[in-house]
Amino acid sequence: MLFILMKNNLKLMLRSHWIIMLMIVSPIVITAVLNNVFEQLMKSYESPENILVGYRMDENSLLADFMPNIKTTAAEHGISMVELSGSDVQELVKNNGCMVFVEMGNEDYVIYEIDDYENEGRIVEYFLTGLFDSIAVQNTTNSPKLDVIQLDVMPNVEAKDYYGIVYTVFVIWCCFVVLTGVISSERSNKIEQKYQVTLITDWKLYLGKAIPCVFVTLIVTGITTLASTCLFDIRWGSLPASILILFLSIAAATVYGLFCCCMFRTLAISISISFVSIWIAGFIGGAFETYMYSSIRTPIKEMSPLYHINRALVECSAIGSSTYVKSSILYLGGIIIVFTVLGLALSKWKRGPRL
Amino acid sequence: MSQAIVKIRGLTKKYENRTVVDAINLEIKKGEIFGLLGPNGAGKSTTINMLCSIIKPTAGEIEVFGSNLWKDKKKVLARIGYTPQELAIHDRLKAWENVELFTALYGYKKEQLERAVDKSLAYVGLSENRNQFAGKFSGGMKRRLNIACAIGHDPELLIFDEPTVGIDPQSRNFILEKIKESNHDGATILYTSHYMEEIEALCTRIAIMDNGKIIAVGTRKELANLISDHSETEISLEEIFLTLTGKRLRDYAEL
Repeated sequence: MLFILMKNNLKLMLRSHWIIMLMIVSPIVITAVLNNVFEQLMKSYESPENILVGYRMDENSLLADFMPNIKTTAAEHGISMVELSGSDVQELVKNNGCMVFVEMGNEDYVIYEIDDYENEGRIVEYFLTGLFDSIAVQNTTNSPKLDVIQLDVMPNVEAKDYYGIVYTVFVIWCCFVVLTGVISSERSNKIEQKYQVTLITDWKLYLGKAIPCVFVTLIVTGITTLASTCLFDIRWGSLPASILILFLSIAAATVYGLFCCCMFRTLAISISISFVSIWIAGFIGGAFETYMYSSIRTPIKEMSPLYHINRALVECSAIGSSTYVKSSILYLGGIIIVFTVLGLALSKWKRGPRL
Repeated sequence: MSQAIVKIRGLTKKYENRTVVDAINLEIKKGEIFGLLGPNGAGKSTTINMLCSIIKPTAGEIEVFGSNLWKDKKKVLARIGYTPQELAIHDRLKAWENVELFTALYGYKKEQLERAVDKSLAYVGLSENRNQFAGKFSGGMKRRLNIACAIGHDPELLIFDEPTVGIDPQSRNFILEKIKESNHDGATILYTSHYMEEIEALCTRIAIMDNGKIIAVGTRKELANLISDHSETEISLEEIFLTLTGKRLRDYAEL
């Protein structure tokens, strides 16, 4: 029963050719356009060949033993670290032409950002965070506590990677449009009523739409991702984490889309409302303005699931891992559960009591 | 005398202050073609929708095949075939895919399902069009496909809600013949239509509904006797209908 329903709903979705084409082509075109437009913008944030970092170290600092290795690794990444002595940080920076200054404490460190070298400050912070995390893992000791001044982590990511990733994610969140082929047909032809005279349960009817939608979106996303990866050489970084997040995004977007379709009788209103809400989530979450340079406050950004997803995927692409992977999975899992329950309850309530 | 397979007692449906179906009592006997006739807004479709479990009654009871529709819904629905007034088919599915879908929803699988699809399409004369998309069909073909989607699971009670609306005489005649054939094969039929001649030609018993109430039930002759005692005079069903329900216009808005 469920298999036949899924099979036929799948056919209805796949026969909506223009929707499928739109979903495959749009992220590739958008990525290409934005890549070109923002390449120059991203270049303006690129650091010079060598970043001069002054540092001062506490006598008892746990990091002292690692400094020779840190310096060598830093040099490989275009960062020159010079030890300075003196009490006034501003004087030390001014006199030595430092772009960034780091105070290595006993168990922590402080990064001083300099107005003219904001981007370099972020790169050094990003580099040191990764480096100390790796030291902590290798030595099974706690990582030195990061005391950040006015900064947020910024992965050194290229425009093509950033937009290739965030627009794949954004289009996934619009994937529920493939459902319109099924839902519009059911509603315009009163098939929903006809289903009530059959033996199928509400849960199977729900799965009959949700599973094919996930399947179609998987195919479409697969094609899009493969095409954009080949065309633009997009790096996806940690593949297992990225694939898991993309899959959960597809499932979450599907149940959210189904919920919106249950909420309003008119499909056009459902689509408009869900597109607006996804656009807002994308706006906050860095789909239109890179989240690294966004002026939106972090607590607000963190309310958007797309912020967690974008950030996790972009960081996975840039550094191979991200602390946002966990929050993305939790957020998406929550969306799947909550909107499945709400969607089922709403569809029952909207239809009215059934015998 | 045949046993009643549908027993409706005190069936009522109210929407806020308006009573759409008002405490009706009705019995449909096994093997008969029962016609439900009434002007627009009389409550025919609401009654059928309650009988098919699409909407819940405000009060009253429905017993089908000796089972309470509320308590044994699955058991009852498995034996009912419902052809709605609207064309409940997917335009972007082929004819066989539509029939397969609706028949599978009654638990049919694999070979049994394939046989049911072939049989249903052959029954409505669409075997040769099985691979065509329903959206490409003419109005009459769509109506026939609509029926095929309702009979795949071999129901014992077939409910037709105005199945011949907007089609050519040939298709209408074909559908009426098929309904008679189904009845001959043992199915009980509940049929609603605005076309008096269809009801007259098909139905063994007729209920006339107006303002949510059943105002008369019986054979055509019994109904004729209600308005005239001159049994030798041939009175048309239309005359009976208009006499019982009045000649004023019945405009109504859907609830």
